[in-house]
Amino acid sequence: MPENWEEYFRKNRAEQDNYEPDVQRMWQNIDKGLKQPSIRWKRTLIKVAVFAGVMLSMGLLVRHELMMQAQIDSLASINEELAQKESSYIKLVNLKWDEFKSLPSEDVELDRLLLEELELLDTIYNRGLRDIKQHGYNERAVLIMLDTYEKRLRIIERLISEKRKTQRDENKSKQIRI
Amino acid sequence: MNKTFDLTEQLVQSCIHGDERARYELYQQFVKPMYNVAYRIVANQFDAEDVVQDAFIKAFKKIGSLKDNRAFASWLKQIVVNEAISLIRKTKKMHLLAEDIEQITDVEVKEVSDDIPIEKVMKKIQELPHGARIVFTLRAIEGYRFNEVSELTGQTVNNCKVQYHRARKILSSKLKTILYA
Repeated sequence: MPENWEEYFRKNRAEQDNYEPDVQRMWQNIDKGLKQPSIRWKRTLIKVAVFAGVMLSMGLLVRHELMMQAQIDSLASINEELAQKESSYIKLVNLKWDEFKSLPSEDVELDRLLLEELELLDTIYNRGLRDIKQHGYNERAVLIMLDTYEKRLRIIERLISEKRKTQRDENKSKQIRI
Repeated sequence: MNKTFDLTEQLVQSCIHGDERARYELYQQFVKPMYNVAYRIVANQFDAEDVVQDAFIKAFKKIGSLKDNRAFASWLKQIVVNEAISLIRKTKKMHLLAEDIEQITDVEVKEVSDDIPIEKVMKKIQELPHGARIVFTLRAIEGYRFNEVSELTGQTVNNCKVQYHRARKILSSKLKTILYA
């Protein structure tokens, strides 16, 4: 009798491995397993892909916003509602301006002051536009820009009435002289 | 130095450098003993195949971390044993020592006779309850010490000893019938 089981198996070691594996089939599975990326790698790849996707979307959004902002050269290019408002203001200003020009002007100083006022309003309008280009759409800038049109109209109307008044006064004085 | 060791070392080195042929050579050299180690623990062909495949994949992926190329065989065997025990835990949801140890009838433990053919002994080992079979296989066949078996199975050393004793009792009882048949 042997001393113990350990001894028994030690003596019979050569005959222990009597199960025969399917070597080729198992190798094919191992080879396939080795060529597949590991789960950890798969997870990392998925995370990277999701991150890249989010970054790409954000990038496209930012680029789109920047391009939109860069293309803004008037209130009309922001949205349709503002486009309509601006267009009606421009029509009104042009009408009033034509009316103003159609009136005979003898006061050169008045014309010069008017042009200066209008230039100042142009500057305010462009500042508002620059603010929107740099920081995106904001209500305050839009209101200021629209306000410049209101002011233009009021200035031109006031000058028209001034011219008319002057003209009326001149006509009266002519009649008196006659 | 032994020629087989030399060859294994060279193959391991080539594997580390990504040589696919060396990988296959190493596989051929170790597949049968590793399959048998796995079979003795999981006790069926399909689980043994899964264990060996997973163990080789893991080993080839981590071969760069092997500190001593000469230790490849024992390192690989350790991976196989770990994979096998982990598979048993997963599939059988088994606590290795949850089986009722008290149920064993008190059999006189006789040492095994050299005359009993190994195939018959191996067959009877496969019929042991999971916990007893695993502890007995690791200790008596694979040559691990009780503290190593305890680490591998996650059981206390005392529990492993109880399981080992239980396995011996059952085997003695079963083999007695063969001897006196």
